Amino acid sequence: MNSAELLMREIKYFTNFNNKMYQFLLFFQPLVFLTITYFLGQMREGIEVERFIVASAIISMWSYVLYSSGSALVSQKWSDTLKMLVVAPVSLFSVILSKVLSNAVIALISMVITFIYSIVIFRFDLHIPNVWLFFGSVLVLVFSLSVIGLMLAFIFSAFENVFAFQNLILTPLIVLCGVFLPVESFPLFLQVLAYCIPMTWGVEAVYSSLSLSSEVYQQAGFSLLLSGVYLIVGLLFYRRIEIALRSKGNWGVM
Amino acid sequence: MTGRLNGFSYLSFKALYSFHSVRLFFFFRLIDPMLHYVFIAAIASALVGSGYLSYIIIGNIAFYAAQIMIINFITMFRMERRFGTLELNIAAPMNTFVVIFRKSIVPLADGLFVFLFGLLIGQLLFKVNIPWDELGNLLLIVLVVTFSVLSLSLFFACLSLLFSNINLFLNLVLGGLQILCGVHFSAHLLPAWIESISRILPLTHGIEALRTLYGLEAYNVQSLLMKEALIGLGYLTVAILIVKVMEYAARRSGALVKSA
Repeated sequence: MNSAELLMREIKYFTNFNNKMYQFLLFFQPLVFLTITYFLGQMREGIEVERFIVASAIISMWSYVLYSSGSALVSQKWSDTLKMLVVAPVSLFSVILSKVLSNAVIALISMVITFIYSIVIFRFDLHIPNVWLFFGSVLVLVFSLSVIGLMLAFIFSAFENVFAFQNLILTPLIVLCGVFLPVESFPLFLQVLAYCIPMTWGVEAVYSSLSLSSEVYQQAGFSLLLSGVYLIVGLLFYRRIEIALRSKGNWGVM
Repeated sequence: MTGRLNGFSYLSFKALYSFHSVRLFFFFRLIDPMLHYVFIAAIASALVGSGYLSYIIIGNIAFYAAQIMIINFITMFRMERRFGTLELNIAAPMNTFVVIFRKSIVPLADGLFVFLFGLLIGQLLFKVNIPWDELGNLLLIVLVVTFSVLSLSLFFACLSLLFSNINLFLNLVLGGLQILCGVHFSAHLLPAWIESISRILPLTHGIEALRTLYGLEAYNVQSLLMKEALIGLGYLTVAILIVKVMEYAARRSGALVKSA
């Protein structure tokens, strides 16, 4: 099975209406956030509509990545397929990377759904000045979400009961990555922390593409660079998991 | 009787709360609401400016407490269904409502704690100053809202038994309440037909009463509280009827719920 086929299968599985866990995240959550944005927007005139539609989309994308990629590795144990992955002729890293990439692409669907809702239901005047620049910056964001997903999958497999803490990760990261408020408005230590997350640069690149700011390329570059560092660290982590699973038969909660 | 009540509620507490260590309680009942309010504050500040912060925080304090109670109730019913004890409650030689009442004590106390703690966080973190001179009225509002939300929770928990997958139902309920009950914005902004729905839901009037007490809106608190209490009573009555019908149907057919 090639990568495209695997991706299509994943998309088909996760967007299937029988997969109830993700129905809310993909189809209903954008509606909830857009409704809140729509009515809050009525409280004050002259708000930057595009920015908040994109913000609603990023919340949905991030939620999806957190809930889906977080369990990418642990779910292999639940479904008893972990041992097959360990003896498979491809590395565990490659398998999980393909999963988190497909999850991030599916998260992109939630952005498309958010845009469709905003135009069709809420009649927002969604104006994207340079579609290709915007699309490029979104791809950078999707890649940063993938590497964060890779790290989440590792963390979720390393510690007990991390699932119970998912909500404690969800909202702080949205705030920290500057989805609503600019990172510059945070205290210095939070700024440092925020800029260590590739998503922050990705989010900034997306917003810069909306305002056609020249900083977009620099921000996208930083996001890709940082994502690359996370990817290498992820590769080392997953090698360690593989070695532990092969030598001791267990790792973390698996 | 009191001992039995305490024992029953304590067992319900141990069954419902998988996190009964102090550390986890700290995370889920103190840190989590705080993070939720910070998240909401960020949205409000970015969209409508910090002048609107108190308004949105008050709505969310009430909503978060409601969310806790609804999740607790639906989880309680889900667990009873999963472990097959729901049928035992029906078959027990004790009134079903007494069983439900005893099990309600812990979610009620939990919701009350989160509500009151939320008001304190509001004061400390966002300078949404508690009107100390109106403390009696404030506590009355908290109690009435908690009662009406408890009734709604029981109603939804009964309805949830009709669904094989409760997660989607729960998320839809919570998402719907955020929009319909004026949590983030005034219910008056909703189209008339949607507002008429929000007016028959608990929380809508309670949030308006809270905001009035905090000087953020100007309504008649007494009238709002009366409506909130009546709506709560209405939902309680409907929930009791549903339980009665389900109990009757269960005894006749030998099956209580859709299999999970």
